[in-house]
Amino acid sequence: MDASLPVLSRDEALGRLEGDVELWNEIRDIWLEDVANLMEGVSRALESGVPDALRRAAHALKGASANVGATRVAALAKTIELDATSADWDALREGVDRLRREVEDARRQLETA
Amino acid sequence: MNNRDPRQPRVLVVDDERQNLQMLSVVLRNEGYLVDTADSGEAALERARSTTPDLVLLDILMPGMDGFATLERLKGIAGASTIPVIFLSGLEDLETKLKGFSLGAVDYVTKPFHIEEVRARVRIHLQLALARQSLVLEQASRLRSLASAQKRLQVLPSDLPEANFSVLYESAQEAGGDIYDVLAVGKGIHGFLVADVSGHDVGTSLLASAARALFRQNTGPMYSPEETFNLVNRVLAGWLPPGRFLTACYALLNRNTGRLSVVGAAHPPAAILDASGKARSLDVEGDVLGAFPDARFGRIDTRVSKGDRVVLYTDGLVENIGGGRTWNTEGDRVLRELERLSDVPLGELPSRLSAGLSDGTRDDDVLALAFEV
Repeated sequence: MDASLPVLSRDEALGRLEGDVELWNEIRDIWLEDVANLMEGVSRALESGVPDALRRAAHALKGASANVGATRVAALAKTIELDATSADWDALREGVDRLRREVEDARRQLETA
Repeated sequence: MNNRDPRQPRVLVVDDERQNLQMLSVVLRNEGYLVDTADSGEAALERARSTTPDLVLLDILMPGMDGFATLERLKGIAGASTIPVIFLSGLEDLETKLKGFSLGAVDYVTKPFHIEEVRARVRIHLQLALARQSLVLEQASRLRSLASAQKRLQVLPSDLPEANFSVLYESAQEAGGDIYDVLAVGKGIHGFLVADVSGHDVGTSLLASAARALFRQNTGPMYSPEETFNLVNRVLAGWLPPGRFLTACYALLNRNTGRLSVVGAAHPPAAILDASGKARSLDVEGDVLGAFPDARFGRIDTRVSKGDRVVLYTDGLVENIGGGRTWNTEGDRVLRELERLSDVPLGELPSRLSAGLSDGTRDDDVLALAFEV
């Protein structure tokens, strides 16, 4: 993941929504409600050791985060999604740990955005 | 599209993620569309059955039945197979897109959505569907005029009394795929043609009209019946789309010499009832017309006497697909029925024959042409 990516790209997300702040707020609220479950899904998939489960769980978190503009979470989740079937699991474990921290950063920013 | 106000089309959005469903619903509702949502492939199929959407936005990666499987099943639902499907995918690889298109999707939108793009794609595909729909309606109306034109073109017994024939032609569709023709080849010589164009769609009746004209052009004193078939076959083979063909039976009667020649192209056999009331069938081996250029057609020559009757027909007279009957096994029934009807006036023979052979469940064109030597 590109370290220079911002945690939150609200303007970019708003651009996709034609500046519709109300719609973005709705999406943000859904993200805040769902993100714990989505992250939990990734952790559980990692523990299960099933590459396809991890790929799907990371995919779901990526999609939701990209919509709202949680750029770093989306990018890291995408890396995990793509590596789930190929990379070694030590690296994936490390990636998921980082993802958990990124989710917390994004949550803090989104709660006040 | 169904009977709803066409200005308010119905869009079904299918995605397992709540956020996507919400975002797309809001955007499309704001545009004035009616929006239904489904969070799984299974739920989508149920929705599609009950509400008949005008367009479907379908996520590919879903747990359970994924978008591809859903799309495949959707195409199998009667009335839903023509609904345009735009798939939603975070996967940008070419393979995914191509697979979607090969399964019948009309377009795709990549995630995260750009709502302007979603709106534009939804709008354009609804417009295309509407245009296609009016094209179909227009074609149906043209077909109705074609059907009446076909009727006008048909030779009636009163047009050619010296041919001494009668005919029954009932078309199952607006315009049928069965054709018949009666030609005055020379004094005392008449050609009788019955043919069946494969298929039951808009194109079939157009092909039928064209094929009839083609037979006419290639019939005459200078052509033997099998030469007529060879010529027609060569033209059709270079012209018919793949999978299309004709079956046909052509009888050339020379009343001057008492000879009857019959040529067949994979068609139900001609039946002949002699003056003594005994019926037999004139089985002629032959390939279908128009499928390949080197097709071969068999010919039978037989002596006939005054008062003999010959019947040519298409498989609709005896065939009932649902009932498992085909003309291969039903030829005998035609002969027995023909013998039973030996005293019926020629003008009534085709309809009486049809009534005697029908079990009331016909689903094809019915054509029976009878002539008397």
